[in-house]
Amino acid sequence: MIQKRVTIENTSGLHARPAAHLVKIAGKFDSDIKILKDGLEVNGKSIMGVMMLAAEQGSELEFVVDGTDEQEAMDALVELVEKKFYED
Amino acid sequence: MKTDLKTPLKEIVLHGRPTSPGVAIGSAFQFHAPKINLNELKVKSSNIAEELDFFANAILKVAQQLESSQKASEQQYGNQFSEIFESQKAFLKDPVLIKEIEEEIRNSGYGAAFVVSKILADKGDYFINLESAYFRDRAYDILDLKQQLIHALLGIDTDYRLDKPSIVVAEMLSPSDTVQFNRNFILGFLTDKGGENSHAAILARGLRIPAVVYGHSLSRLIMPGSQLILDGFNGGIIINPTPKTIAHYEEIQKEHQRFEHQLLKELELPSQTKDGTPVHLLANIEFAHEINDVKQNHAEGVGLFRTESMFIEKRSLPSEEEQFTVYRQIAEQLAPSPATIRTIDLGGDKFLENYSQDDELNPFLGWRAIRFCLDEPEIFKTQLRAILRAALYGNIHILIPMVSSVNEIIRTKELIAEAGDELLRKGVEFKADLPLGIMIETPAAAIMAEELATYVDFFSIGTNDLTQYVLAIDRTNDKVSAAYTTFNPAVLKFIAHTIKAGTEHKKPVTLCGEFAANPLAIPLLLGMELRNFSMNPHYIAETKKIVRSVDLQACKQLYADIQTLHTADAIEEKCRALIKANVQNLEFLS
Repeated sequence: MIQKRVTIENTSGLHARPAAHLVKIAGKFDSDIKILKDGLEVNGKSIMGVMMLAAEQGSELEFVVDGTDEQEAMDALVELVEKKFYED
Repeated sequence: MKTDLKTPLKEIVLHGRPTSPGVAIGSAFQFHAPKINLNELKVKSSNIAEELDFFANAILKVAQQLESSQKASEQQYGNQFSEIFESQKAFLKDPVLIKEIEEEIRNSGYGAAFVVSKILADKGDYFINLESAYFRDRAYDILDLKQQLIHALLGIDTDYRLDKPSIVVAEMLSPSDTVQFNRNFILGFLTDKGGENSHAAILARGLRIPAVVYGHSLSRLIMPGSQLILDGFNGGIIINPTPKTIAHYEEIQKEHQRFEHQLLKELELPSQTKDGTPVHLLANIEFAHEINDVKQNHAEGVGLFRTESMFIEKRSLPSEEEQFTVYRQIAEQLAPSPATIRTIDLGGDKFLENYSQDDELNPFLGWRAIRFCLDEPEIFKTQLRAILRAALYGNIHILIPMVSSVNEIIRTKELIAEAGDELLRKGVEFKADLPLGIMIETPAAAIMAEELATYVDFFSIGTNDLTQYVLAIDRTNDKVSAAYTTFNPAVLKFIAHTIKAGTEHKKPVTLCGEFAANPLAIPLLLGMELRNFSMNPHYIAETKKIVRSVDLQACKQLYADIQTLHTADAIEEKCRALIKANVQNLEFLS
């Protein structure tokens, strides 16, 4: 299991489109993907869950990835966040 | 049906009653509510595999509907509303959500419609309590999706769905009707029936969209899709407006938006009259999520938290724990500002199932509010215990509705003490000695204000009921409601008397009826020495503007001047003159 903290820097935060993008990437991997924010933990493969985080620009999240392809999954997710969901 | 573009339809101008300000321009959407009783769906299914199949088919069907709605919307509005469709489509494809629903169908044995309704209603509840406006709006998308799925499951024709910005036209709208459509698409409400206090009017003011009530049958005569203009300032209803009329109203709409923008900017300024007298503006709320509106509008606290909707919505008695959670949330988020919790005001027009009395001849003079609570001490004490516990987390005040005698206050104090003893015995922590206030909404309470002031810590004047009881006029009866006005000098005397008695006994007086946000009434009430106004949080901006525009001396003079006027019309005229001389853009104030 690996963990990593990230800051959401794109303008619209985890609104519907970026959240869908994130879920789509998470869904490609076999590993369990959890996202934590302010004590709330959601399944990273669920758009409903990801949007429940109500993450706006500047929010801090923690990814917790567990499974055979955990490193690849974490890299892909972190890249998406760092590249600001390719939106800006 | 093809429309002949060469002969435009004739413009029709009608006049109704404005119940929420603003201008709406758009096409008509006719709404006739299909009735679904979800409790009837709460039956065990004999064939779980079949329910799972139904659910899978409903998802496919709704996904197709969304696809075609989105296409239609994009043709007309570009991608202005794509956020709504994108979220709904994404939710439908959410594997985790689908699995959750399927497992609940398997485990509970209930039919798919009931399970979908329960799970999506819970999700909606979660979103509606979020602080960010964007995520909060998603709650409406979820509730709309819930409705679409239920209709697909029950085979109800859903062609009445609101899937593009429209003016909703209906005979009347109930809370259960308005949850049927996606609020993000409502441009305005045009109804045949309903007053300023109807659900549609209150919802419209909350959403800052216009609403007009016509008063006669009109909803069925308007062709679906007709172009409409609603003038929420004057009550104008224009069917098939000409391009010239549309241009005229677009101009008003723009000016109004500029005005609203300016009002919101002025929210940051202190709440005081021109001469610097501080005036406290508080909020009336009904749900915990409205705390966001309280904060956004810079209210100094909550002057009235109505608790009965929690009882009505659940259709059962909420437990002490459920109530505690809500009260605590409000107290915590508002602290150190006051959170005034009014104990349940059930009865009259709001009945609790199983406790309703169908045979009451005069429900408004009957078994309601504190009378009901004192007769049902277990229900009352459950609420009191929840309040006392929540008081540890903030600045809670208790407010008792519909008091008409000292006995009721004495008995309430006994029950508060009993509720405290019960918590003490159970070893549950709580805070005692909360400020206790009463609603002054019966003539009996108003006339006895001096005596009552020695029993309680504060007064809250409820002008809606006080007006009805002083004038003996049922505000919901169209035959007499025209004479229902708080500007009637008889009502004003009761209000002034209450303010004076409270002030003399150093007991704060708040006014929490619609009158507190009536632009014409604000200077008059200031002249009567009222310093605490509690209202729908969306009215605070304009109330602050009025307060900041008037001089206290002029308000006192106004109050002195109306002493010689004996009709509501003459008094209202005098008040209007003062406001006109001091406040700009008065036409935009509701």
